[in-house]
Amino acid sequence: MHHEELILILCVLVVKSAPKSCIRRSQIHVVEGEPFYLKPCDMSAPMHNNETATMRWFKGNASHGYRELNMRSSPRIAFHGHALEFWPVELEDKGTYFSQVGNDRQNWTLNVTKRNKHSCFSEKLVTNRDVEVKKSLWITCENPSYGELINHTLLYKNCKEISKTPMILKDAEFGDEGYYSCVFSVHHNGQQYNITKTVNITVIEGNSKITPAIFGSKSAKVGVELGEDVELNCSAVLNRNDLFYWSIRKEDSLDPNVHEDRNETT
Amino acid sequence: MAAMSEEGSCVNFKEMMFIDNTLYLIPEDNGDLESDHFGRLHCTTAVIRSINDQVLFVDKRNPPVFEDMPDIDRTANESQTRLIIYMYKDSEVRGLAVTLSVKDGRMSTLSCKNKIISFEEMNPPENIDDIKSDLIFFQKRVPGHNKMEFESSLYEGHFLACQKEDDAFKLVLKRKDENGDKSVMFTLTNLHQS
Repeated sequence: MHHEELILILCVLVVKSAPKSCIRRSQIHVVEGEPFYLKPCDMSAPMHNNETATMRWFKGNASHGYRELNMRSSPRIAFHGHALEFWPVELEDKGTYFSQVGNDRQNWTLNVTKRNKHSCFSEKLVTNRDVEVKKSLWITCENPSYGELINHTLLYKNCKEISKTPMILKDAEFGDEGYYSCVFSVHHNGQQYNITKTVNITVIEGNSKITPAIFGSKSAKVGVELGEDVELNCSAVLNRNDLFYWSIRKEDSLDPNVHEDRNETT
Repeated sequence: MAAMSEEGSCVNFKEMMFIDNTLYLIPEDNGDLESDHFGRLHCTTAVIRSINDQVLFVDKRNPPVFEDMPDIDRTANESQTRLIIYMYKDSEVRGLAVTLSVKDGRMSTLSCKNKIISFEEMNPPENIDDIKSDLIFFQKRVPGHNKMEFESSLYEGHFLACQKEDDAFKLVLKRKDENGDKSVMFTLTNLHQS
């Protein structure tokens, strides 16, 4: 009876765990001391459903050759499904990796950044985001790839804990500028690790958009004598990135008789 | 004495409209004249992010995906995350007509032919003599958001979307099912011209 319950629990856990997102980009930066994984994409293609297809992992480079990774390569390495996991990644893990199933190969270059002992995050591994003042500032902490393993999540601003609930949704003020770090506490094989995700929020002046307008009458008919030049003028007020052009119907796609000039004043 | 021709050559403007802060002049519909409907203007470069701040990543050999990545990864993979957006003149009043390209050695341009998203190796055409194209999307601002959506000019009501398939978030074309569908909302971050 006890064994059956254990098996049932395991089945539930297996079913519940969401798959890690695959990684397509080849240049990757990560900070030492945090869990990390590599996982190729498109492994669910029909030819890979074959149970006999085995995933192999290699590390090295073209000049010095590649060596295959296995459980004995490092106690910090684990193979889980189609993923190569680092518990945690360290500076020595820097290098080029590739996975191979049959003839399909995917490769990554892993760059490991030294941890900044005086900060709760690495300034190299930041996402910058501009938010307009008085517009909505929305910060949420999610890490689906480690979902089930996350014990708790904390949100820091400039390395000071600011929220029991790791989420911010408010209108942006200039005082909201700063580095917001989500710190996920992850449990694995009796050990606890932190994963940090940091966004640098800059609050910018609002872009006061005006409604574009054309000056003068909406419609005009201009008589032209054959062979004469005519100049049609149109004045309008626009925002910086607005688009203004003449739409001309003509039989030939390139009409050398028509020239567009524009004057812009700020 | 040469008399002025009674049938003068005139450009008649029937209407003027604003769409998403863009000014459009609508000529009278002289049915007997053909027109080139999409004419290429200039381009801008941008990063496209999904509602969850994932960056659009284009690998020519595989479907384009959205990935979580810090800025240093985005710049390290710049040729595959830097979208080149060409704007087009459109003789009809719709959203801003654009093509989306990446330059990773060669230029590849986004196509939704047969409702399948792929980056085909081609330059964005100078002119497209049609009112619809698998390459042209109408970029529109989502009301109430600082976000954009891209409607296919070929498949009306179908939009670029970020959709989870197995373990990847893929760029797909889908019919928008309701207002507030966040999977079709994207953030455009302009890059400095290079």
